[in-house]
Amino acid sequence: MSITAILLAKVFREPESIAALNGSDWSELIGQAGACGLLARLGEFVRSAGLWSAVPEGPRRHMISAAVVVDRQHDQVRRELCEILRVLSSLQTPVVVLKGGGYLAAELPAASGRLLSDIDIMVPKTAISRAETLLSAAGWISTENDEYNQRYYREWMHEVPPLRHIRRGTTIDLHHTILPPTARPDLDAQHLFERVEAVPGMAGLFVLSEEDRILHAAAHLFYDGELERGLRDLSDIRLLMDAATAAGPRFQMDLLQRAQKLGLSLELNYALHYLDIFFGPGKWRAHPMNFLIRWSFDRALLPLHPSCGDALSPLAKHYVYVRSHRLRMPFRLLIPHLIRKAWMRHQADVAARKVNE
Amino acid sequence: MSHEPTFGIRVGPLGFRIASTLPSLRDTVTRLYADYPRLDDRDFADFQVCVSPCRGARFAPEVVFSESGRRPFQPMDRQQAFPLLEWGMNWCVATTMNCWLILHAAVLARGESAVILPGRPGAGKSTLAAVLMMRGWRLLSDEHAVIDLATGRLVGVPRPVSLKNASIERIARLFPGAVFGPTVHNTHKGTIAHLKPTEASVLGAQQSSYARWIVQPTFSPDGTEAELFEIGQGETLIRLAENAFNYSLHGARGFDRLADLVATVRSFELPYSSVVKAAEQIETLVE
Repeated sequence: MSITAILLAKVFREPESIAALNGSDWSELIGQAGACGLLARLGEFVRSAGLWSAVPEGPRRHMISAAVVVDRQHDQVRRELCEILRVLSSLQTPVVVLKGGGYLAAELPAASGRLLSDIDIMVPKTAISRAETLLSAAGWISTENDEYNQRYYREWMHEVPPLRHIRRGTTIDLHHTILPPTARPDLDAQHLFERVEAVPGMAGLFVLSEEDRILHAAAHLFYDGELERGLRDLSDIRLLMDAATAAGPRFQMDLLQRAQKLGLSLELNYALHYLDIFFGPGKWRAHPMNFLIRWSFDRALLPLHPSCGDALSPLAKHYVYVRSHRLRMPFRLLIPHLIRKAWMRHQADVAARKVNE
Repeated sequence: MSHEPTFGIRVGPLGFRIASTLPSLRDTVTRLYADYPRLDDRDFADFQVCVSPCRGARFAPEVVFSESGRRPFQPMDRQQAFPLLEWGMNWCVATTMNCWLILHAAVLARGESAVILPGRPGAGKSTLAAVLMMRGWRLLSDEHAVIDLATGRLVGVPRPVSLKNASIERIARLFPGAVFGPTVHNTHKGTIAHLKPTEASVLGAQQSSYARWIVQPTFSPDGTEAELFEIGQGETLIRLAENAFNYSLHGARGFDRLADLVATVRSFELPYSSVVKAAEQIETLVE
């Protein structure tokens, strides 16, 4: 049986199959969903498929528990977005909210059951400095006190380190483009700004266009080094695609053309390939993929749960991690960087042990 | 899933599968959880927990707690395997089960009426809870007051009572029949031992009960033996909210449930120096 044939994916493909699950199967399902952040979405999915009555009491509690956390967080994020808009209003440039924050702001199906780790905001490169100043005056300050890490972000990655609010603890990731600039200097963010859509009811706030948000999600998945939430991100793409396909027959053509224009055809292909594998065949046909990528992502996209993966999974994940760094950094910077990161992790472990004693 | 043999138990409405390759830990679990209903292989389990040896940076052998493969804590000395398992199981309940409102408190019941003992650290709630339990109260939990948001019903999740330092000896002398897990020294909470819950507590875990009293104990060795002082609803609500694990997650619903709770209970402070007298004071509340 293929390594990607996990129970969670089967349930998303054939929701009625939950009626045949025994208690132990439910343990596995809840465990897999919880591990990749799909528990709340699974609950909503089962409900909207009219199958909630087929869910026993035990599993129900876990899905409800996840939903409680998501609902609370969505309230907080909505308030936070209003505050960010207010603070950045003097910028006089579009403020684009990306990924989960964007799905929530625009009330898209992809917001369903989705927890956000931070709020991703994009402004034009010319406005980045001013944006950071305005945000820091309002309480969002850089989380990086370490000089090395500041340099990593600003000089090498051309990015702003995450900003954390001193009182509320919410985090903003401030961007001027959608992929690490060192990985994709060819990607012209201007194209993205040209097509952004206003969020109804929140003047000044925008989200990426329908095609662009799909391409962003696809690209991010295959540039990211840590794919613990990989299946969740893939599920986002599926929901975005389903909504867009329903809206118009031209969509397929538009998406492929847009991918070509932005230079993201390869990443879109990866996404289509995995959407097929995990969530069932769509109307799309992906082209064959590079063996090494396929071998490693097959494992790296699986939830971190004892029921998923094989003995090679840690190696595959490690490869994905190193690969994502290689994509962002030239080798002469990468090797010393990885060594330093490993050393700092070791130091942190040792320090944590001392606290325990 | 896991290929190790597991010990599956029902704790109230929750199912735990416990795995370990450590023979002494397995022995302790078998003893302290002897009365619990067992899970069979096809049953749903909320948590798959494991305490296993791991390679540590230190010289002494270490163990690590995991739930479905996740490791929320740093490894600990192997001697602390059983306390680590218990803390881990507490962590599972408090961080996952947000379908309920969970307060940091001990809860015991007589029939359908329950007393909640909110837990300021060092106040002695676990010792008092142990005494009440050995005197015939049903233990719902020594750590988590689990409240159904819709009905206010208290959910029983009774597990071994964690006792510290001098309390261990005290309980052992007061109740010669008491069964304990291993006494473990040098934990971050001092010396610890776990008291096996009474059969009545375990088998009665699913029985319905509702809060009728809230009693906040404070141990002071030189003070009064035990005296109940009634306090007001507002004060009580604030204290409960401060002692909660997930109150802020529930927003208005959580507030409404706590407000309902304080309106239907009598609430007290109980400074004491004698734990037996303290238990007697609480028992005077039962008509």
